[in-house]
Amino acid sequence: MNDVQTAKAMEEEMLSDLLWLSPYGALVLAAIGAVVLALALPRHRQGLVGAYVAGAHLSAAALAAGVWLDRGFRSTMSGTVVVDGLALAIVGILGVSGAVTVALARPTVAGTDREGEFYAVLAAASFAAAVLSSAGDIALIALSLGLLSLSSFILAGYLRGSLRGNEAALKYYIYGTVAGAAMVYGLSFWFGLAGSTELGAIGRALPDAPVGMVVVSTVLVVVGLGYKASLVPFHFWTPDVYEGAPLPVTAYLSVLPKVAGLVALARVLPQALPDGSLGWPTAIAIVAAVTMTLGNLAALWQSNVVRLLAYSSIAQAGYLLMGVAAMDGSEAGLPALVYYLAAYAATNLAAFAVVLAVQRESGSADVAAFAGLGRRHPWWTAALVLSFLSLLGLPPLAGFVGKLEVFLAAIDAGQAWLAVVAVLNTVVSLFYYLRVIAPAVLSPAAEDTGQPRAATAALATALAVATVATVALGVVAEPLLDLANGARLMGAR
Amino acid sequence: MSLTVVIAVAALLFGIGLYGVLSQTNAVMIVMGVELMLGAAMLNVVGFLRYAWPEAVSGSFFVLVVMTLMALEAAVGFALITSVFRNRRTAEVDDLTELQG
Repeated sequence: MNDVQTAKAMEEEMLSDLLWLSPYGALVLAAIGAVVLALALPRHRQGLVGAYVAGAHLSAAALAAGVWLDRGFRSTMSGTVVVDGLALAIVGILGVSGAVTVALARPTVAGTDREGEFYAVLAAASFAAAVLSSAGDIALIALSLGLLSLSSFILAGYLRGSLRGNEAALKYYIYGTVAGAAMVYGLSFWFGLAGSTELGAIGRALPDAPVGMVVVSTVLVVVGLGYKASLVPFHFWTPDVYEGAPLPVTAYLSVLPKVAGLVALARVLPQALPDGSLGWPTAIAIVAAVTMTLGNLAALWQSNVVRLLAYSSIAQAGYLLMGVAAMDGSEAGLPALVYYLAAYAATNLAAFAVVLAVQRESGSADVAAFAGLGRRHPWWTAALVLSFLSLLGLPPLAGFVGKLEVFLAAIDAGQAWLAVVAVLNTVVSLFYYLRVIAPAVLSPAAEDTGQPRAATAALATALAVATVATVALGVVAEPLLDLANGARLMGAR
Repeated sequence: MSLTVVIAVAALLFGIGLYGVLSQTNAVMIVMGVELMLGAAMLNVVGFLRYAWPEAVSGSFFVLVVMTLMALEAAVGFALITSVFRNRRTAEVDDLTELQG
C-alpha cells in the first residue's frame, strides 16, 4: 500500500470514528449551543437554554445506547478516546442525570442574571466527565479532569452574592487544584518512565520501572482522581462544598465528579499496573474500607440533611470503590461498579430532589425541617423514604442490587474481609438514614410557618424520574445487569 | 546526569509550591503555589522529552495541555477570589468560616 492509500485509509478511519464519538459530540454541542443561545435569547426566555441542554443530554444518552447496541465498541482517535462498554454506560448515566439536574436547577436559577451560562457550564462539566471516563491517554486525563474541576468550581459559586456559595467555591477550588496539580506531577513521571502518554504503553513500561518512582507517581495520580470521588483522606472539601453550593448543583456534584473519578480509576489502574502489580487492589481495598467507615461514622452526628448526605456520599464512594478493588481479581468487579454507579446516581438525585423541595418550602435543610413531612407532602415523603432506603441498600430498590453486586464481586476477588466491613458499615448507616425518615413519617404535621411555595413542574418531574429510576433499577435488575455485564474494559491499544 | 538535575529542580519546585499552598493564608498566594506545582510537572515532562525520549511527540502535547490548564486555573481562581473579595473585602482563607460542622 502506498502513502496516498495509507493516508486515505487513515482519513476514512478517522471519519468513521465520528460515529462512535457522536455521544460526546452531543454534549459538546450542548455546551457551545447553550452559550450561543444564552447570548441570543432575552432574559425571560433563558429557560429555553435549559430545555436545549436537557434535550442534548438525553440525546447523548440515546446515542450512547445506539452506538452500544448497533455498532459495538471501538478505540477511537488512535487510542486516545476509548469508546468501550464502560464509557458508553457512563455517558448514558451522565446524560440522564444531566437532564434531571437541569430540571432540578431550573426553579433555583430562573431569573438570575446569567441563567443561560449556568446550563452551558453544566453541559461542559458533563462533557468533561464523559471524556474523563473514556480517556486512554494521560494528557487527555489531565485536560478533562481540569475542565471538570473548573466547571464544578464555577457551578458551586454560581450564586455570586451568596457568602456560603463563594466560600464553597473557593474551598473546592483550593482542594481541587492542589489535588489536580499533584496528579499532573505524578502523570509527568509516568510519561518519563514510558516515553508515551498512552495508557497502553505506560502499562507495558511501569512493571519494569524503579519501584519507588512508580509507587510515588501512582499515589499522586490516585490523589487527583480520589479527590474527585471524595475518597478518604481527600474528602475534606465534600461537606462544606455540598452545604455551600446551590442545592441542585450539590445534587449534580454528588453524582458527576464521583462517577468520573471512580471510572477513571477503574480505567487507569488496571491498565497502568496490569495484573495487580505492586498490590494496588489491596491498597485500594483498604482505602475503600477507611472511606466507608469514616463517612458513615461522621454522618451519624450531622443535624443538617445536606451535610448528612455529603458524608453518606463519601460512604457510598467507599462501597463503589470496592468494585474497582475487585476488578483485578474478578470479572464481576467492573459490571458491579457500573450498575452501582447507575443506582447511586438515580438514588442520590432523588434524595437531593426531596431535600431541595423541602428547603424551598421551609427555608431549612435541618433534620427538624423534615418532621411531619408525611402529613404535608405524602409524595415527597414516599420519594424520601424510597431514596434513603435505597442508599441504605434495602431490597427491592436500586441500592440493594448495586450493593449486592459489589459485595459479591469483592468476595469473588478474594476480598471477603472488605465485604464484611461493608456489611457492618451498612448496619451503622441504618441509624442516620432512619433519623431523617422516621420523624418524616411518624411525627405529626408541624404548624405551617410562612407561605409554602409550591414545587414547580420541573422540580416535580425531576423528582419523579429519579425516584422511578431508583425503584426500576431495583425491580427490573435482571435485564439491566445483563447489559452491565457487557461493560468490559478495552485496552487503549 | 542532566536529567537528574532537571528532575531534582522540578521536585524542589513542587515542594516549594506545596509548602506555599499549605502555609499561605491569602488565596492569591495559594493560587501561586498551585502554579508552581504545575510548573514542576511541566519541567519534568520537558526534561524527560529532552534527555530520555526526544522522539515522543505526545510529550510536547502533554506540556501544552498542562500550560493550558495553568492558564485556565489561574483565570477561574482569580475570578472566584474577586467574587469573595467583593462580598467580604478579604482574600484570607482563614476568614472563610460560614461552613462548618
